[in-house]
Amino acid sequence: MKYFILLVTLILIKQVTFSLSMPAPEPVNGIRCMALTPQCMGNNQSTRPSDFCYQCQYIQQQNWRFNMIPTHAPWWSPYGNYNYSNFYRPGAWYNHGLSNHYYPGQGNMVAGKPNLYFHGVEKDLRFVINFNKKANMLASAPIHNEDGWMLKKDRNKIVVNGNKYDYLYYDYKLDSHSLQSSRGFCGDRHSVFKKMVSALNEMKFKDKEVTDFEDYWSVKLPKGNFCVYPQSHDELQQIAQWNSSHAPGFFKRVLFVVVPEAILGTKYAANFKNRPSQGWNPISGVYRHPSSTNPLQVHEWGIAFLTTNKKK
Amino acid sequence: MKLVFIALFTTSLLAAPIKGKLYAETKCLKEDTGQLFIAAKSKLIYQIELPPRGSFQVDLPAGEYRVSYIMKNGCSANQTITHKNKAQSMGLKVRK
Repeated sequence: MKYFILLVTLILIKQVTFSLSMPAPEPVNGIRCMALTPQCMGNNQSTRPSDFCYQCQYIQQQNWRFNMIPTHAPWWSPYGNYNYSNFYRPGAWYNHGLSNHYYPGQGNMVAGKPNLYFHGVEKDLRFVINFNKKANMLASAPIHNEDGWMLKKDRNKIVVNGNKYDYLYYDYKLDSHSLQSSRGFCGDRHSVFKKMVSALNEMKFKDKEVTDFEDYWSVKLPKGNFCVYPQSHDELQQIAQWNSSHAPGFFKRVLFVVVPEAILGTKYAANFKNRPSQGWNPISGVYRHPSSTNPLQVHEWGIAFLTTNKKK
Repeated sequence: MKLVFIALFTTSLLAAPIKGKLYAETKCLKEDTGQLFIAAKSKLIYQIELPPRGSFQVDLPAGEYRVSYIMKNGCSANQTITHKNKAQSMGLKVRK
């Protein structure tokens, strides 16, 4: 038995010595790699997580997509998967929600990535988001100053400070207690994702706007079963109030509040005590000013999650 | 107990904005957009789609953050920033 253990040890030492003396494989076409592929592994000198490998990202690695909704694979997902431990979460996520530490403010909920799309901007437009006392801006792109964003017209894009954007982006902290908690739907991650996309289609969001939603949330929606309580402009305007230099003739606004089903009724779920008792009508999120002839349209979608104090 | 509560409450409010601007070289402008990642170590806090000369703002507690920007055409930028509960600005040079 002793001789057997000695023999195995000698073989292992020999293998380790051999592998240490082997030259590290070169990355594909000499390009620095960050991906966990055979072509990219092992080059200690030139492989750094911050280096992005443009070839590697297109190498088919089904395992990378294990947590994604099938059929959606944004070009940036291999980079994110490699570099960030919580990439398949909407942000810094602990247990059932987002971290209060990284998303500071009084509220108990983070509205993640509301995207604001504008159509028919015919003259310069000032657009401002004003928050109520228990809500605050967390992030914006481009920068949302105290006097908001100044938009200029362009054929297909929004121009702010000379730069073209597909949409305006902001994240904010809010208090969930003024939100509706009786209408919505429940299901596993795939099912609620499909229902949210279906709601956007029923609300007649433009194809690009729905695709943006699918690309981002197919990757970022956490695993598990959820209940979704969609909020429309009536609820949201009391929290994150839109103000603009001229009123849109037509707008649609929805924020999907996503609550893990397992915490419903507990103190962690705040006012979301029960599964939704009624369905939600997507058309209730679509508005038109009957007397307005303004061609300006504003479309906004977003997803919100509760927060947690636990910090690891 | 009150002190602990006040301390926790205050901590949750302590944050300050980081305002950032991307400065892309001309050859990076062929693509309209890229992805900005803001992380504390390997923990991703924000992911934002931005044009290569766009601007952004995030409110964050004190700490060290890695800000990275990548584009499909191979342009990128990386910077580590130490944040101290005080508003600050940063510029990121986006290069091929």
